[in-house]
Amino acid sequence: MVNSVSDSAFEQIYDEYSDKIYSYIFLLVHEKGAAEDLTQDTFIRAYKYMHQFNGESHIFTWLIKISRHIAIDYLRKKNRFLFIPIEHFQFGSQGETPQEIVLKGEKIEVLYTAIKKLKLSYQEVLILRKIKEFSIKDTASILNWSENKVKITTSRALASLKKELEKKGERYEEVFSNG
Amino acid sequence: MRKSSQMDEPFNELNKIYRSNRQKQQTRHRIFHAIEHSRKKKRHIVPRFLTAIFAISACFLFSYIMIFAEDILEDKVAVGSLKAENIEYIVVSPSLSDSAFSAIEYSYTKGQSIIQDPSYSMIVTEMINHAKEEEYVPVSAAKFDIMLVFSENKQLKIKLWEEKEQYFIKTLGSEQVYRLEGDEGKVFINMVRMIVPD
Repeated sequence: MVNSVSDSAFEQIYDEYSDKIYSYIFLLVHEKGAAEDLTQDTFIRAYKYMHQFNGESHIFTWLIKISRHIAIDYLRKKNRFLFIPIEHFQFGSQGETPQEIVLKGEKIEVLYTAIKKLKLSYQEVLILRKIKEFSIKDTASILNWSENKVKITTSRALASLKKELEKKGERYEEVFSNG
Repeated sequence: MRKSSQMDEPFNELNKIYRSNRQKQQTRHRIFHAIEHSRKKKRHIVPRFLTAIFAISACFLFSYIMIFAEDILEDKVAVGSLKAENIEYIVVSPSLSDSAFSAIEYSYTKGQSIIQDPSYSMIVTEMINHAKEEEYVPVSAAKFDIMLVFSENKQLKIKLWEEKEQYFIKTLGSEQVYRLEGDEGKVFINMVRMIVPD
């Protein structure tokens, strides 16, 4: 690999961002082991293509873009889906809630499960905008959408999340109250 | 990044997923091991890589001479240079404009579908490989954008036109138009219409 970054600088990047990348991937794939493996793949790929990083975006945004491709590729291969309009695709709507989430308490578990039930585009925009707190501009760049689409999809995703929580018998306000 | 409010507290909780330090260090070790391994491999590969380049260049030169000679001797009609094999999956999307390409994976274009099916891939492979170079340039708007993804994530991006039951394609970044064999184009477009409304 020809590279524009020293090993020690890259180690610093790893130390600073690997936990954040791990948690992002975890929210997409919902499995601890897979999230760790895909975090590893993200940093190997980032090292390989570091010379292509032009500094136009924050390095974290660039790493998230790489990890998103890797995570979705993993899910696609795992699910082997066929003839499914991607906008309606739901990943991982089955299965138990991971222990990492259960330990956070019932309210967070309810929110996590409700997000997981949403269609993929809603999940992605909520993870980036609300959980990872990316700006509209960065979210648009990561998802390859227009900024307007990010705004509209975020508000639709929130409305859908509200419905999902209500379906579960949880009041939206209760989940988002500070108590 | 923006500042969080009280309403965002539950979301913030989901931003923190526990990951043990041991896990983190093990992954760090594996990453640097992979980087080092790749460096060593690269050092060994260089001479073979050069040999391969010479070999490919020689083959290319030879086949170029042969094709040129055959064309002269047999007045052979030029055959389209498109080639597809081992398609892993296909992304299809209604074409939104002639100047933009919408079959980008996970861009969530309305109507976009991903097709991962060997029999479908076979039909598309045959269709692409039988496409003929064409001088006519379609005047209507393109119907579908199609991305073929091959092994090692290699991609071929195509725009497809339908005019009077004739089917034309063009690869992204090229001005060369290809005409599809009548039946193959029709079968393909009918299958696409079953899953992607245009």
